[in-house]
Amino acid sequence: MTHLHIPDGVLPVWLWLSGAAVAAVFITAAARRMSRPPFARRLPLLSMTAAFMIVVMSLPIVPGGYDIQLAAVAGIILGPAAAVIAAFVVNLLLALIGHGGITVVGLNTIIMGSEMAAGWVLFRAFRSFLRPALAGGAAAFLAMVIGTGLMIGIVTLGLAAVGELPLEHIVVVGRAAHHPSHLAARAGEASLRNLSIARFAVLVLIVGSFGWTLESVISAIIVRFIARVKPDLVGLAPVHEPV
Amino acid sequence: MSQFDVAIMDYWSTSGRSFLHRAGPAAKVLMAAGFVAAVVITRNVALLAAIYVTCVALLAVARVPPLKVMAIASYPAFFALLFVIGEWDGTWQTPALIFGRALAAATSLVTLLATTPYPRVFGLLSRFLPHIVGEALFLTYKSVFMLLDMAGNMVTATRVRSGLQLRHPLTNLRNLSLATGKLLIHAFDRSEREYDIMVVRGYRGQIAAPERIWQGWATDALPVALGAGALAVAIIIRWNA
Repeated sequence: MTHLHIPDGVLPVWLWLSGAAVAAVFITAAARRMSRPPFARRLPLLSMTAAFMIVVMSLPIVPGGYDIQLAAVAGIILGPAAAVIAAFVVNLLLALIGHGGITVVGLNTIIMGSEMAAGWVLFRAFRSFLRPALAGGAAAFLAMVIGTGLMIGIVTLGLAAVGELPLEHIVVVGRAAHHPSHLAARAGEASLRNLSIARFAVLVLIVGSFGWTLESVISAIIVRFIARVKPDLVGLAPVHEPV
Repeated sequence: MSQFDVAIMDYWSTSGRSFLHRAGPAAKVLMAAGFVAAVVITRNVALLAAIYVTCVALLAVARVPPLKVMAIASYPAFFALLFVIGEWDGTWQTPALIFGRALAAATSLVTLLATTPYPRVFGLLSRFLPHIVGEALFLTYKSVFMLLDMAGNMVTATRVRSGLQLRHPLTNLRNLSLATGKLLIHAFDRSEREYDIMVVRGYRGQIAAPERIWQGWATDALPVALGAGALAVAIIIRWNA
């Protein structure tokens, strides 16, 4: 699990609706670009790479049910435009098959799409002075740092929204709570919110740092292998223009 | 995610003959949308539990193994746990609300896909998506099965060659990463061939999708009523609070 998907119901509605709107703009722009030749020919590659991201989650590469997704590697292969569509398709399919997050597909698409696009940009920046394996590993690591930072930023935005806590701190089964402690809780919301954000960020960074290291090593091995066997796939001897 | 989650859900959706399987995709999408909207609106744990139990009961009636579905739909619980730890205020209601929302929403979606073959769901969704995204959705889902098969063979082959050993986790990591790289190369080659086959078969940028999204009131009324009912209850509870 190197990608922290935001589950349903933890973020305020305005935030995930805004995320859906922003993602829709990116997806529409990417779809228009992908619809034109020669990019349309990349549709099977896009689909296969998106499927690869889903399937690789089920591989026992890391013991203990730790899922990897190789978003940066997929981004390096696809390029930014196709990556946005692939990120949307992956998140939608994962939500449909029980991974949760159907309301935050837009936000998760932005996070994953950014990570994939960052992987593509950073790999192209690093490959001029690093070996493909190192460039791939470093690009994957930094892309995941960017993706996780973006996720923490989005959650922070949701938690810090004035007057709108994402969750009621006191909920009684069958009716909303109306007792003095609720008022006290309201009065202390600001400090509680800051505490929650800090606690959440520390937790995510602890879990994330393990994932970044692991996935960047795996990405480096895979990129090195691809660079030897099919270098055009990672843009080292370009046959297909990046989208 | 288990390697077989996608495959088994596809089997359930295509092999079932229950009233829920016979209902139109539009009715079931509306039901899932109603449940998810109720999950988002409500802060009532009892309603979340009711939605969850309704989905499980519907699946049991439709002869889809409810325990397996519950296991599949429990995946978001891990991510929810991070939010629970981050948000916990010492009460039981906060974790119940976070877990309840995550599980009820996921189970609603699994109920949809476990009783509706994917071309029918994606055919409906494609009406609201750019055509290339709709096609990517179809092709990706189809490719998942192909890759699952290849990945299963790949893991077996790595094991047979003693590439996976309990005492050597770093060697395992290297071997499986290399095997994953090979899988990616095979996937790339396969995608090229797939495209050529599609073109030969007349593909011109449009994949045909089933047109019929409603099946009639006899089968569609119940799913629509359940979704609308859950949403109405959520709105009433929220209004009264």
